[in-house]
Amino acid sequence: MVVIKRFNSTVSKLPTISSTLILSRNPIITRELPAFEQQYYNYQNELWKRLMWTFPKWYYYRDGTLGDQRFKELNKPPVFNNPKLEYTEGRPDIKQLRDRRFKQVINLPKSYKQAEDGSEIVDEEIQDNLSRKINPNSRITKADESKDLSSLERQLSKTLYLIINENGWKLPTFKSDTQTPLHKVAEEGLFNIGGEEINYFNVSSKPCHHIKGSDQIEFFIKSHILSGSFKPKNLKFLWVTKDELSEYLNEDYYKQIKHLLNE
Amino acid sequence: MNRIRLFSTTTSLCRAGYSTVEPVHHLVPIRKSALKPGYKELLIPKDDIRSVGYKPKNIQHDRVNDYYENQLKSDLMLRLYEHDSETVIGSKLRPWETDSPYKLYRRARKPKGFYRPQKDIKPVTFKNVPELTSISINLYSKEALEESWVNISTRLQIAQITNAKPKRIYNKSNVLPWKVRQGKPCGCKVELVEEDMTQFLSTLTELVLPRIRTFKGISKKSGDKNGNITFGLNPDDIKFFPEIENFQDLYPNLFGFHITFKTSARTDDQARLLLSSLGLPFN
Repeated sequence: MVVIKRFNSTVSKLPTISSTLILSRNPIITRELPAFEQQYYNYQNELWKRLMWTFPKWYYYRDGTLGDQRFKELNKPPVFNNPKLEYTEGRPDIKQLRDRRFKQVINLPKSYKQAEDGSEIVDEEIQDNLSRKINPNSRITKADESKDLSSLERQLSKTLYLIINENGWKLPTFKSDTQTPLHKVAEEGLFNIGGEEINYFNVSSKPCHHIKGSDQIEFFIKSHILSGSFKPKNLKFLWVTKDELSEYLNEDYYKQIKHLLNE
Repeated sequence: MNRIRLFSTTTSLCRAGYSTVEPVHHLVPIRKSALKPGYKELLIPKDDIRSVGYKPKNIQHDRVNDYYENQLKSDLMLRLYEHDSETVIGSKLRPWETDSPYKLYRRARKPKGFYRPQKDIKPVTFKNVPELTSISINLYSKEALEESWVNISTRLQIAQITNAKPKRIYNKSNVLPWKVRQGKPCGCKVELVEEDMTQFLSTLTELVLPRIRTFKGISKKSGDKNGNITFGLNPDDIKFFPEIENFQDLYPNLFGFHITFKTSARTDDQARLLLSSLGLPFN
């Protein structure tokens, strides 16, 4: 059944509908762990290593093979339990080449040449060798160092949100005619201000939130930038994290949308 | 089996007088040997650090779970939300009409089109966003039927890949042309949860599947209509697991297996959406 409501002429003005785009760049690397959490994981990990079974050396490095020889060079056997001797630091409890009083520490042969202190000896000739040591890239990028807020390559461990400057900082908002769906309005608006070089993923055609004003309703469309870049003409824009967003947006407005945002 | 009192003996007849105490009939046999103080340690639950079988959890930061909780969950809820949606009642057992006395105590009929009653599909809210609950791995090996020692290598292979101890599985029926005999070990299975599950998932999506040339994605037809998706890996594909790849001479025979992703999604479409967002391609 269709219900048609007739408004009185005094309140005949329909609210204007606008579509706000929450365009985010998802984190690229894992989040920074708080010190307590890191310590907890370290503790559990050490406990796990302490309770681990003895490494089956006889399986991975068979006797008489080349690998066995390399393994023996790196791992010296534990102190022999001589029944005729007294040990000041307790009698060794040896099973399968392991002192069971302690956790087992195993040095495995590396695929690259190693110096005495464990650092890699870099061979200039074979730089792109697959067996080279894996060194992770820095978590801090150039954009972080130069504090370039308009770069997409800043704060890799956090979610970034797009804000633009149109009479003050705000999330990109587009007025809707009543015909076009909200997510289409947001898409067209984004391409209009930022060029078509942006590859984005719209999470859903349904809005994730709305704010009702006296004469306007603002709907929020959620989407992620996957690749490309936001390149507007004569428009200031920033990619900021959730914490930084509170500095740029109106306080009341931020409180109303803060539950939509990820760290 | 130590019963407290045996009535088959005739010693009581030889005694003078009789007991006025009611006889106790112990129908449950008591295994007194299991109550030995030496076995007390085995009664401690395995998540207690004093237990022999204690295995520490949370040994490292779980980034797949982190990604799900922080990024995916809210997106999935928004994607699967439908306005004014109501619970879709699954087809249930159909009771007989009451028009005949013969129908009075009959067992209810099967649901239409199904063998057993179907679950209801509730609308997705913040309470029931689909999540991956476990990954079940099932390895059935025909070779193990002929040579029983082969089943040792199947279990070793799965234990290496998954970091969990697999259980043996046994044939349930006799099919002579296939050399299937009841009670014969024929492979192994393991159910991965939590850290082991996410570790296996990330190995699969980042290291194994991208390197299988023939792999086009999990079939879209796969699924049991309850949100569980299955696909299989060939013996040739197994060698891409890093645990096996670096020690190939230790594994002269490799075995393919089936992987089932068990999700809390109510329909296969929702499960596919969840799995594809976790990095598994569909074809």
